Amino acid sequence: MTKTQARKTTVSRFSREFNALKWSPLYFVITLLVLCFIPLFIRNNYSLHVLIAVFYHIIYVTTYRFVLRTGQFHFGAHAFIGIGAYASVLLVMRAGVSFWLAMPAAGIVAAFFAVLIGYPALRLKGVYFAIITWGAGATFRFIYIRFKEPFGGPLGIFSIPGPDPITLPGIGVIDFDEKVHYYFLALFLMVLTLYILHRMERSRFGLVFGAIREGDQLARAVGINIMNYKVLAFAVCSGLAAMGGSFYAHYTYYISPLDFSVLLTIYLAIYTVVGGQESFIGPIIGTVVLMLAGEVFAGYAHLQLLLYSGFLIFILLFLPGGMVSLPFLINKSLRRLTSRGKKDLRHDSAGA
Amino acid sequence: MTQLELKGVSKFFGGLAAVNKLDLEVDHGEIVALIGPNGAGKTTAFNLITGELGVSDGRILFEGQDLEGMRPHQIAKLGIVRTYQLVTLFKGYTALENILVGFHLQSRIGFFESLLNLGSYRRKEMALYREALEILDIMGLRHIEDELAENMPHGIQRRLGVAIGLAAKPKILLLDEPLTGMNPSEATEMIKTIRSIRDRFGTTLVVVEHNMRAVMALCEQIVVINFGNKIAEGSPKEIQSNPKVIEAYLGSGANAT
Repeated sequence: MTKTQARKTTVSRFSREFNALKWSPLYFVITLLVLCFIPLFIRNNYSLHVLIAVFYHIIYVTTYRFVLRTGQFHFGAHAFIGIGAYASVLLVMRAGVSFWLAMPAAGIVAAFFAVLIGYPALRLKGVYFAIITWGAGATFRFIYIRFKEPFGGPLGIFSIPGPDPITLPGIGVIDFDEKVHYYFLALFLMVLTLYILHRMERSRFGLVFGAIREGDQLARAVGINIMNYKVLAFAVCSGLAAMGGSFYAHYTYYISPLDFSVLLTIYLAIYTVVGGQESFIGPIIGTVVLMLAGEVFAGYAHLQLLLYSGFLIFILLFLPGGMVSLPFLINKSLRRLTSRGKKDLRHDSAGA
Repeated sequence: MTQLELKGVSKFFGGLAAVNKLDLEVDHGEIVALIGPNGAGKTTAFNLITGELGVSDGRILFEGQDLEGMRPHQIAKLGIVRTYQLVTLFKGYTALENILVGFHLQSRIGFFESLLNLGSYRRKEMALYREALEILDIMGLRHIEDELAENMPHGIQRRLGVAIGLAAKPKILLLDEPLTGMNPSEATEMIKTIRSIRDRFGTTLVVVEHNMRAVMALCEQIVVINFGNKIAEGSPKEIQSNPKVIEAYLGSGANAT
């Protein structure tokens, strides 16, 4: 194999993504514009609701994936989303804080708990970390159920107020009595989350997180304080997810311990794997596709998890890279097909 | 002037003394070899110096500072960086990215700085990128900067491992068997490169190596240990003629060069 050929066929996962993302400002702006104009055409509340649900699930799933990318098998995303929801609801309903302060505060509370749990737990790896985070989720759920005051017990908390009216310069008063207002708030939160995570991944932070995953011993030897980085990623992601949880609470007006069961994390894991966790966009695609599919087949809701599982197994068997790897795969097999006829060129089909 | 000093350092695993009352002095800019038969305690000594293992007894001083109780990343921050015996590099990364990770120590990453992605931040990143290319140049890896580490041949991987250590701008670089698995011409090249690291950056080098020919060619000072004890110390010439060494390590009648 010649040198140039080797260079062509072996592009690092990181730089491949790096290159793919170079295009992203354009794609991103187009997508954002489309999303901004959707409410002009889609007027019915049901469709808007589905889109809003997709948005906050994208917040959950991207933060979830980021923790996975530091090499930790996170199984307690629901714990932090729940903390965010309960914290902001209690702040608004008990302490009378404005939603616009309570939401970031909820994020900070969740980040605080993430640091508290993270410092001991992030020393563990694989299934052990999964068990600890799962346990954390179960513990919080138990607390919500056990203490009727102030958490509302097993029935949860009713009639949560929506966000306070806010005056935006040039647009006017937004009072959140229409779905569209929630739509744009969710969109804003999602874009904010994606921006922060994307920057973290593309900067040298991303390199360091990846390095910890690839070889933590060596990372330590070159002076990386592994613990601090892991805790940082865990806290930032938990905080952002908690803000998503806060939005969820004030959007649905009702939360119960059942909303934050481990099932939520399982769904996130399915979205992540189906979409492809190697790339930033993968879990987002997984979320969009599976959630929209779930709505299309809403009549078979009782079979949903079964269908998801079947789909998951299918993906694991035939598309281990997730749905994002599909274009690569098609491209490769097409190239193989076309090169078969021409004997003279390309001896890389076997090796590549 | 002594840069790194081990004073009566011991490490016991249960009743076994992996390193036993080891004294070692390394001067600034020296190339020192630590040799000895398998299981003599060379790698353990490295682990003690870099803080991956705690010492059972004795003291380790780096530029007069006691390293007792310091964590590996703190010791790396002081300027003691090591490479590993088994190839350890970041396999899913390209050569260039491996180096960029190695830069961690000399350039702190500001969290908000990288979130905002300002011009000053980008300029800093570009400067680092250029510096990384320079290091690849020194190590003779420039032509494969985009290659994934896991796809490189063994000899190249070892070079890259050294390059990562070098990127951390160490004062002392500990190389654990940098020549293992290299063919003679690769080894010769590597020896030249290691020498040029010292000449160019003034980095002190401590090398554990089994390839005697290379050790004799490369190092100015050789320390021989066996069963955790230091049995000899001196220049290559002295070591070659030391009957104790020949007996313990090279075997009787062996010809070292």
